[in-house]
Amino acid sequence: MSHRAAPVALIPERPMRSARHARAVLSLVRAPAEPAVSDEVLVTRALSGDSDARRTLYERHFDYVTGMSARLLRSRDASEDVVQDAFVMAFERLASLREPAAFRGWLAAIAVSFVRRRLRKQRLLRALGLDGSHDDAALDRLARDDASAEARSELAALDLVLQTLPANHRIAWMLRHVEGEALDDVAVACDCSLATVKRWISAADERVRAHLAWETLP
Amino acid sequence: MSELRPPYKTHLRSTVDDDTRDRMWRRIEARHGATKAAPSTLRWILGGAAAAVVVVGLWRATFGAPSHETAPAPVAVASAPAAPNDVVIAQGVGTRHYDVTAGPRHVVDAGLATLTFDDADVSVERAEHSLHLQVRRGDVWVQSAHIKGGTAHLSAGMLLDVDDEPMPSASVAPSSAAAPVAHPAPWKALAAQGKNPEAYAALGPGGVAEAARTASVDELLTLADVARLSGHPTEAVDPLTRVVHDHPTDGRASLAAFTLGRVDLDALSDFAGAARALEQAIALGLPGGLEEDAYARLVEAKSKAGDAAGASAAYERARGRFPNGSRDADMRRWIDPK
Repeated sequence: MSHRAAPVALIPERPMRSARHARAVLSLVRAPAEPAVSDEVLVTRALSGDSDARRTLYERHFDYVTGMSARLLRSRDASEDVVQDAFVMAFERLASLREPAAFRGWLAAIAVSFVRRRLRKQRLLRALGLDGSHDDAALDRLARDDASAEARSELAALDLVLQTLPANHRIAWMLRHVEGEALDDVAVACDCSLATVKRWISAADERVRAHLAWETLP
Repeated sequence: MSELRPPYKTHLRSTVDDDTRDRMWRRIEARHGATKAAPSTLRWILGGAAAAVVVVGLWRATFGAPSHETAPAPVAVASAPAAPNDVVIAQGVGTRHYDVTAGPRHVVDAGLATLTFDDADVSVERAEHSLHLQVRRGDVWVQSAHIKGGTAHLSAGMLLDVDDEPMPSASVAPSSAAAPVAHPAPWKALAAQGKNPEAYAALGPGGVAEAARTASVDELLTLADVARLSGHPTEAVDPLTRVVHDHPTDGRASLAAFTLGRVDLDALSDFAGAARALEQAIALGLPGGLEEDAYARLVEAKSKAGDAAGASAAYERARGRFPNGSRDADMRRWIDPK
């Protein structure tokens, strides 16, 4: 075979000195022509063993999955475990994803299933007096710095009432009203029918309104 | 009237930061690599072992017993952990294997060094005057007065030897250097964890070119990844070219050609070479999503190479192939840069 002469590299070829440097070079390599590669394409590439594509999928959806998991679990530590498990499972089972374009929803469903599992475990440990998790992602603790005292107080009240809901109702309600997901997407994430999700959200709405004296949801 | 408006997350701060993002990615890649490397039978065994560990862990969490190290005593458990939820273990002379999955933080006092980990698989071999550590999964932080700087961070596939001698006596090495069983080559183990700069360094003086001479298609593609992602895109050309030329009937040849096109276009500014590689990738047959992407890059490469007619022709072919394609606007930008 004939191997051609290598063209001149734009990137200086020298050993990496640090992880920060490695990241900088990596982004230099990636930056020029990745305007809007779809999840579908990235999934296809990831299936072919392209670790770059896996990383891009991770970077693209990390904030969403981590934020959602932390708020559902009211704990950043617990959410880290869930997010790791969710991405590992997603990458392991990528070949079973029938619609690569639907990666985000599929990943959310995996994460929610881990959240549900974690909540069951927390409930068990709490009953045994062994739950050492920190509620550092309760809604009021996450209030933005510029939130008014009233808003903080409402978030605290909302957090309190959400804790009294059955896990499925709470998850569905939070996905809809805290995360702002469409009902169809909530149904996918909760792995149940649209009718069931509507029923859960409606039941949760009723409880939230009663506790917060909201006549309707804002 | 409430001040809050849904979605309520707009009233909340972000829960993530870059350090967490990077740290978690390393763990995810390490776990992903470990799962890929484990043969199915072994995975069943590991699964069974993990299940046993969970049962034992729950039992111990409930009744106050120590961590789930796999070997029996002689292990003494301290009663006053460093932090309320830490599991602190004092290990005597002998070999112990710790496999902790998302557990509480474990602090192992092994005499010459103290190890800290919360999600790792690590063997600790303690002798009278030495200590040998081998990490199979996860991250382990080591503190010791006998290693340079006092601390070391070990990740999957790394070994650490600590001797009871004046500093610097400790040496960190990729694990397969001393592994008795068939471990992958160090560079492959590191690449599987996404540690491409380290994998590149582990290739030694012969580098990518030497390793590529006898490599399988899988290995060639990994070598190309290692080269690209460690900042040596020029060296990715050889393994990718070998896949395309030497293994044209392999299903991954088209992917290799596509990647070669990307390297030429994005990193090496070899636009004519990129166009050739992308034409070849399309001819070899790419999955739908990738094929459209390849056309878009082909148009860009030809345009940048000064081949306006070729770019237009490639655009027309792309339009015929993907009439409602999502990359149409990108391609038109290259056909008519104004």
